[in-house]
Amino acid sequence: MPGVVAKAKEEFRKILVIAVFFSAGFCLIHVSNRLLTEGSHVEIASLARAIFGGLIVAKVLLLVDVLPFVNAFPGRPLMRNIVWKSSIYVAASVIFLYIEPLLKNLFRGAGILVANSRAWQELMLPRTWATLIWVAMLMVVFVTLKELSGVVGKEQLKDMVFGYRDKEAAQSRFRDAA
Amino acid sequence: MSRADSTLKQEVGKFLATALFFSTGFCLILVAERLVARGAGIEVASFVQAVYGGFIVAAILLVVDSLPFVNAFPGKPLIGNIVWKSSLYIAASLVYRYVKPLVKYLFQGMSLPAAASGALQEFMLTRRWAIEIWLAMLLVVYVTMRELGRAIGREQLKEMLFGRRGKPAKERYSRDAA
Repeated sequence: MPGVVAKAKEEFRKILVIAVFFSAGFCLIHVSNRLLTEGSHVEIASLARAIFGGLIVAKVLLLVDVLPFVNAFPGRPLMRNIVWKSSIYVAASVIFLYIEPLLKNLFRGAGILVANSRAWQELMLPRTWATLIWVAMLMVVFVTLKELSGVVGKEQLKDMVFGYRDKEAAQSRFRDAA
Repeated sequence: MSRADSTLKQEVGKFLATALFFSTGFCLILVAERLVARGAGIEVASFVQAVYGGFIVAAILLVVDSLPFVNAFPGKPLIGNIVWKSSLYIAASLVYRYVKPLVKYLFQGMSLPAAASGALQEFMLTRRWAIEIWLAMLLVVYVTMRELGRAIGREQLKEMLFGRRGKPAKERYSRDAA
């Protein structure tokens, strides 16, 4: 039982870190768009949607990570994994962006053809593609850092960036290394 | 002479890599901005400006890097250098954003107070702040990768990302290690 709790805790933390990363990115993009379109009639998604978007991306990433073909290039140069995983994640985001309005329309009582047509229309909006470009950019940064941490070691990378937080743990690590 | 040549080559390579990174980023941002502003009559920069902007940022970074206080946290956790250098670069870009129109107006024959007022007006444009946010995001990514490259080792990071390019390089590497 404690193992299950620890696993759940770890998974929750993983989601939280990804969600914070993407939510922060989306919020900055939102502010930038607000500034860009100020004084015009262009409709921009709300800040709450930007935060919620981060949570959705985290969920999509976690789902995609379960697929068996995600880790297609183990032991190969990271660039392949970065390109491969980023492409898969972006493709998953496109699928999500299509399925979300499709389901919404189906639940509202629209027929499958009408729902499909509306979902397709929404997917083809220029605003949606702008969002996808931003998602792709954030995704590449995220995957690069994740892959680097996979090779360097999560703890080592944390130590490099933030320094040793726990001196005792650091000492024991050095002892192990020696 | 050959040492000066190699240093020059290295500096030009560094400059070009930085310019390429920012030009690519700016072009992607431009595409996204065009998609958002489509049909709203919002003035968006051209692709030439985006590419040119990348070169300007690379030049600014080169100038800032020559300042004596840039490397303020040697041997400390990377986060200190990341925050410090990103702030410095952003500050330098803000200075450039103010000085550029100021000089332009002065050369057009305006008096100093009029030129300063015109430059300040241009500085306060909301569209410019939108670009500044994007620039800040790209700068943080750039500085993080560069600092990681310094901590891990530039050659090691290259090898991690792209693999060993040629066998002689591999042999040289193992010789060095031995």
